[in-house]
Amino acid sequence: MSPRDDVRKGFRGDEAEPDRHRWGGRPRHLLHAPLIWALHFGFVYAASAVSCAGRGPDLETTRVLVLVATVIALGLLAAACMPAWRLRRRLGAEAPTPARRERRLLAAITLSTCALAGFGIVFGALPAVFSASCA
Amino acid sequence: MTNPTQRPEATAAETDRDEGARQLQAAWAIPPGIRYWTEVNNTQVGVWYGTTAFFFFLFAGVLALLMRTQLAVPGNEFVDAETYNQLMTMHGSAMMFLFAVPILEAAAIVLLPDMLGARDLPFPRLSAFGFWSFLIGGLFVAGSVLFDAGPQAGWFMYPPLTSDTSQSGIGVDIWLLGLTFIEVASIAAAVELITGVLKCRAPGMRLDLMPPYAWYLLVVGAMILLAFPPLIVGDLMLEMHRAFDWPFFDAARGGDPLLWQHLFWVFGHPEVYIIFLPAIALLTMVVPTFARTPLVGYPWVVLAAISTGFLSFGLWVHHMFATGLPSLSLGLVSAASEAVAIPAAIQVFALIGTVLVGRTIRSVPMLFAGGALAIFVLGGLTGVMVAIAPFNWQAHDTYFVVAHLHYVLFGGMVFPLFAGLYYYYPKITSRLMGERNGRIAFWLMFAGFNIAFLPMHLTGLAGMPRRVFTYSTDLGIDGLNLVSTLGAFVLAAGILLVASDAVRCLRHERQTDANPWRAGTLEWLQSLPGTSKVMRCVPVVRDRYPLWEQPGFERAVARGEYYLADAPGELRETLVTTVVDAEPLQCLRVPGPTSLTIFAAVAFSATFIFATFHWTWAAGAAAVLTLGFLLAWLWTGTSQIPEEPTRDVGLGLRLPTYLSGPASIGWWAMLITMLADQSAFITLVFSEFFFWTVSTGAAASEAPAPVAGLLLAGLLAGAAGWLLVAWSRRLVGTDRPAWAQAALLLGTVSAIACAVALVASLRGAGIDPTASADAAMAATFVLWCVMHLAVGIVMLLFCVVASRRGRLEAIHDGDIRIVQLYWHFLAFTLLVSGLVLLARSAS
Repeated sequence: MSPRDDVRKGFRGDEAEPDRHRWGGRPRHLLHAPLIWALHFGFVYAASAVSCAGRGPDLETTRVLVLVATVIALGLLAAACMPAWRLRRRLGAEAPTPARRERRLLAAITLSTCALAGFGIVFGALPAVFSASCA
Repeated sequence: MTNPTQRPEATAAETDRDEGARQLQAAWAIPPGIRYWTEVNNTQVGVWYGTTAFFFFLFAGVLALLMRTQLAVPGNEFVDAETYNQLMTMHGSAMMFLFAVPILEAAAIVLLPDMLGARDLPFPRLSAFGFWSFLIGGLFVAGSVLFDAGPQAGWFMYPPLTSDTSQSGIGVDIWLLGLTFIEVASIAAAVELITGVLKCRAPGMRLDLMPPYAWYLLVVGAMILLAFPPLIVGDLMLEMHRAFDWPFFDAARGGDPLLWQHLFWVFGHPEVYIIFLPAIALLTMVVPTFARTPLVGYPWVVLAAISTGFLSFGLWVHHMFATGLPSLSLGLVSAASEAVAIPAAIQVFALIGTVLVGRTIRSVPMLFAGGALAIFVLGGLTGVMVAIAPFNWQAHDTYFVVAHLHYVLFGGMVFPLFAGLYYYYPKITSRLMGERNGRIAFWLMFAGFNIAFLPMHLTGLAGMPRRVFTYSTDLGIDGLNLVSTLGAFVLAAGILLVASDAVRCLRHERQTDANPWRAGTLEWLQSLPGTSKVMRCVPVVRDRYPLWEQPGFERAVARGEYYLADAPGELRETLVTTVVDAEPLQCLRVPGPTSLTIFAAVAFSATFIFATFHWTWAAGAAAVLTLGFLLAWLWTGTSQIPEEPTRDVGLGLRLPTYLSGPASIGWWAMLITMLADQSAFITLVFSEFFFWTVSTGAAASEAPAPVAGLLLAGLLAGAAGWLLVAWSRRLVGTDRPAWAQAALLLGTVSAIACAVALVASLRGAGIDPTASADAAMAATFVLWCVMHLAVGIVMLLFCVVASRRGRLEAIHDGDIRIVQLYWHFLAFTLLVSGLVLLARSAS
């Protein structure tokens, strides 16, 4: 295909603009899972530091707080990955175009970062389940 | 027979093409003679950058050989303890700050423009400024060891040894100030890389079509923004402690040396991944070429890059397992440290999978790639071991850690880099490096490395502490140490062979064609002769490996059939595209050669160097000079109003030459810079919080509070400034310059009032920063705000002048929109600082 023919179809793809808008799957969604992980990590770290420095709730309460934070973080993670999950299924059912392939890839990466962040969150909370010492 | 009527047309088209190529060559020509050094093109600057960093690598390597010579036999007197301390400190610091980070940034600025199909990244002068700062700062820091004035406290500079000026000499100041501005240069590079990847891709290169290397560099850029600022803040705190006795790290006055460890490692651990990711990224370019197949598991590799990026920020405490932190914290960090093995493994498997799927060709780059994976996996396994707290306590500060970190860094950085060197050497020099010498060098390096470092696992487990200048024969580690020393020299021989071969092959007469490895990505397109390797035209990309998959692509590019195939005004230009679809958005004028960046870098370096010697007035004068050069640079080089509002870029497309706000790259650069700035600010807030947790009992109520009324007045003045800036932008938007200038001047007055009120709130409460760490923190918050207000004031005055000169109008409002973005962040900084300090009054 000559360059002139190639650019004739443009760069956005054939999809209608409102359709594209509904897709979601923007690059910034990739940041949601890391952000939730970071907030959870920061909270657990800060809560144990404060508790063990004797300036906050005692250790038992902190352990409960950590578990509550973990449940909230996992809930947020699920909420964050739902649009990506739906988008991936929806685009998978349609004929692939460059724009759809791109969004589908972004959705797939969003989903897998959510999975890994979820693993990281659960793994990071385990010490609060099994260990109860400031020593 | 040829139709005679068509011939003149064909010739006319060819003449146009030749004329276009000539214009481009003129626009992108490398300046002749001494002016060669004023070139700012990223490819050219990247080559200087990389070569300089490689020399620092050889220098730091020689230091390592001196250390290994000293350690060859027990009780050796080759060097004394003091010299040894300088050697080991400088070895680590130079390898990290002067070699690993800069050389990978250099590789990125050489490769990324071509890989993305851009003529240049958007801020070439910033890269040039970064390079000159790096060169001067690097020579200053590295040179100190030759004058026996090198830092001696180990590459992580723990206080209280380093905060006590009677125990640690000027070496620490040289380290702190010398490396701080190299870190600033790294942040500049990150701004360039992120903006480049997001906004300067070839049309059609959607995010899923980007080379994996670009994804990696995007992640690394973000990591630099989050990781380097904490160290910069730590450096400044430690230097304030040393120079002005602000007791951040003095336990007797409510400080805590552990704070430094937090700040250092919240930089230091991501730093490992900041150098690992771009190096493994090189392998994701090398391996598919020789496997003759696209990279296997592209989405997985992107996932791995992103998740390594964020998980790496949860690992810093594993360097502090032996400091007595709560076991709950240790467990959390231990878990995160083990979790990061998952993305690391994904990358290794993706590379192995690519080799298995393809029909792999043997070559020197592939040898280095294979060696890299083997060594990295071993380092990763010992990494999982030391991530487990109880084992860590046993191995802490022993040679086991030395072995682990060298396995990770050689496997994760040095071997991939050498693979990249062999792979990209023909791209840069148009010549191939010797195959036979390459193989010999690889085996020398691979064998030498393992002979040197494998025994160190045992030396460490036998109890040899790291950083000792000698050891006793009773430990039973004489043989192991001798073997390590021999291995180190074999390794050095391999590296020397590569270095000499790289120099020797420059003189080869026979040049290769543009794509000797038959690779599939854009950086292997034919470039225009006589320039810093710029492309004939900016192509349209529809595949991850366009040279493999798009028929007739190379020919069409070589004939200049795509965008920007000419340069009518002989100006440097590149395309700016949208973030997601990579749709052409703007024809961007890219600045050309200038000596301003050199002058600015010299003045900037002088500021820091004079500060090292406490020559306050000289440092101040150099700072003023730096500001002058920066303003001259801004005035002459940025936000120029183009003669033509649009430009025909070819293929029937006309693009604007001026954009402002979020559509412009300058706005993005400010956003990214301010994210780094906020990362530094959050570090300050963390430090305040940290001191709050350590000051238990009676000390808790002693945190001195500034005068609340003055503080509130200051915040109100700051808010007024923020609103005035917003208003002035509106006035510029409606082309009312006189009113806009008045609003800007009023904003300046508010900013000054805010700064004065903040300082008065400190003085009014009689807060002496040397009295306690809490007082020093209060002063630091105020200092931080005042410095940011000063920058904000300079920006406002710049806009006033620009408006008076008619450079700020409704359709050309780029400057004021960038300034407003800065002021948003400034307002946030003021607000949070105010709240933190008011919280003190409340308690």
